[in-house]
Amino acid sequence: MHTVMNVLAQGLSLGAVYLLSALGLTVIYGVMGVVNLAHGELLMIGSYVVALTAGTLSVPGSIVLAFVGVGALGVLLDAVLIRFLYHRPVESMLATWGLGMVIRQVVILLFGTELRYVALPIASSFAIGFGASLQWWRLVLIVCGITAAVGLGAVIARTTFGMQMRAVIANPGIAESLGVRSAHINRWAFALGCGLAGLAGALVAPLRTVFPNMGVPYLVGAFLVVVLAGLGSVRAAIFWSIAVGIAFAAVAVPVSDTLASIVVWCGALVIIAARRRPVVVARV
Amino acid sequence: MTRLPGSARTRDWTALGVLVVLAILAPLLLSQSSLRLTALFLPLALLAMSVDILWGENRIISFGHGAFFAAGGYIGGLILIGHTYNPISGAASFLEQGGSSSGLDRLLGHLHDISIAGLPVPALLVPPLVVGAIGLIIGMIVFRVTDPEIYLPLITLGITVVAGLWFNDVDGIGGSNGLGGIPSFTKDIAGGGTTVQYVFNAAFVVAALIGYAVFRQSQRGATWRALGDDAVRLEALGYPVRRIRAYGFAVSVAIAGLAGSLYAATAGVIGPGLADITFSAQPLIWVAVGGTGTLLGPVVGTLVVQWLQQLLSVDLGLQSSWQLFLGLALIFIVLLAPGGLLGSRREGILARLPRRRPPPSDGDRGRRAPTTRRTRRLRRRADVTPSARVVHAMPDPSAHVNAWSPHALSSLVLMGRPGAAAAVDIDGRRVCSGGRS
Repeated sequence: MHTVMNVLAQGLSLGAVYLLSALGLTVIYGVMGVVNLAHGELLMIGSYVVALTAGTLSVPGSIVLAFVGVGALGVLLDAVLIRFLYHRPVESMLATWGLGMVIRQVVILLFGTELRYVALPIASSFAIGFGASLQWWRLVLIVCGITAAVGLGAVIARTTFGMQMRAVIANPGIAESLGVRSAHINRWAFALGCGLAGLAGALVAPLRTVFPNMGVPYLVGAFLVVVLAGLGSVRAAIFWSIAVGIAFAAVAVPVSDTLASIVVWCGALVIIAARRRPVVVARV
Repeated sequence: MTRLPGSARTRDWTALGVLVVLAILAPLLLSQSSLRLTALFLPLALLAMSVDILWGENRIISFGHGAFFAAGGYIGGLILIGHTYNPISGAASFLEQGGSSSGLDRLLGHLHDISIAGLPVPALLVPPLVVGAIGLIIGMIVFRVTDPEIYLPLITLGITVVAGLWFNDVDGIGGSNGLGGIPSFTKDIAGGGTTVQYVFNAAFVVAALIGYAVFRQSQRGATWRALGDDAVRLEALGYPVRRIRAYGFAVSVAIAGLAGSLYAATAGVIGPGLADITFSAQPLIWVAVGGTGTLLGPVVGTLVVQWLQQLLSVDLGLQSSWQLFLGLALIFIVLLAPGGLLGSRREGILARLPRRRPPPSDGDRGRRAPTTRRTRRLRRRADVTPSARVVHAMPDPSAHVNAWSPHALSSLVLMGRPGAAAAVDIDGRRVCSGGRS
């Protein structure tokens, strides 16, 4: 029982990180048809923002800065690169992979390759029964992940911005002719996706070491969620990110991380193979 | 579905001939150390070719070929060494997973002892077979999803990460140190010098290129290419699209495995760094630089990029920012020069260089230019020799009626050769006919 509770605690918090990254990917693909392979690097930048500014801004302030800052970086990236890649998934993968290499290298040149650590803002943990305990920070992570998912759903369903976003997804030309500035919507949607990646990186920074290549495993995990859930669907992303997080923790806690990733990927292949209907690309 | 146009066929063979001449001249022109480096780059060129089979012809990119390459290298390396990694001599080595570890050692020993005319053949055959079988299983699963061109890169990316972690962890293949001291394939042949090693690797690359050129011109090659153009239409025509793609993926991966084995034997070492995420995208960059779907593009791209890396990063000390250049190059090629160095004139880098053109004379200004281009295109089509007696023109299932006429017309042009007749039937009614019967 002790192990089971530990698995749940670890799995849910890992699932929350996957959820935050997968939501960003989903929004970016759903609206712009861009598969963003630089997402792990955006997450890494979020972590670096916290690692570098937590001392002066306090952790909550630096987390907000990570969300806003990476979102602003997204606006810039959209202006110089991403807008040329709309609805060209294969080209977008290659170009964003190149972008990821550039970002990694720039971070190495600016800050070096050494590992950085962020002190846990709330170091204590609380008991969750059967002798297991959950760090408060992990609870914060889980709550943030679920809040972000629900909030994103509300933004898409309830706000004018969300409505315009859906209009652009459905038919950019008609939306444009009705007065929706689709270039605008695309840019802000990309910024939102990037901001979510930055937020994920910022939240995970106190739990993990921060280094230039840290983003890749999260990118891969988020994409596993996206492959299972189908690109572009928020509800399925919530379900599958929690499932993947718990499945990973179920092997990682008692055995090892390596075996866990092997099991999770083989499991994913089996699920894909066993599906009677292949994954259909749904929209937000 | 058109076969490769005659002009492209000639171009393929000419380019191949030039490359063979260069390959023969290389040992005479290059210094020993340059030749050794070239010999090391040739398996990488083979890897790039295996990526191009998927990407250039079928529009599917894979981030996983680094992992399959490394797997082939490990299998080949183990067979060439003859036992699993063993840091303490004399002690029984074992795989972390346990089980039949000594059995594995015995199998490796047996395979190690087999050689034909001094050539350790199992190390050439087993890696592509094993890796290809893994690729076939993965392909059979992955190509079940719709939009494989989006999902395959993501899934292969995951496979790379998992394989990299696993290679790092297994003691039997040296863990994070990798395998060292792998003997080369040519150590028992003609003294086993650098030149012999170069010739051996070059022979594989040239043989693979010839095979690829023949494939491109065959009926199967045409089907494979057509699949990249419009998989939906081929499926409507009754082709088992998923199975064809899975087979193609398996073949591509098997070639990557063979390249890995060649690389391990040439370098003498193989490590988990080759299944690493930075290496896994490298073949894509080589192919992008050389030009996708151009037969020689991958080989040229690999040699150009690797030599540039050698010159810029090692000799000029730009090691640290090399990845930055590569990333920028990838973005540049995708956005501005999708044809790469050898791509078609319309989109390649070389095409963007200013070209001198004779000024048009007054008589043919305006009207003739579009006509001639169209005629040339039609002529190129007319080059095609239909192999079957009956050619069925299939209307595009996803388009509306207007799309019929070009198809019907092109099939008429196709058949409109002396002695051939063609007709277009719709629902059993003859709509039009042509040619000479």
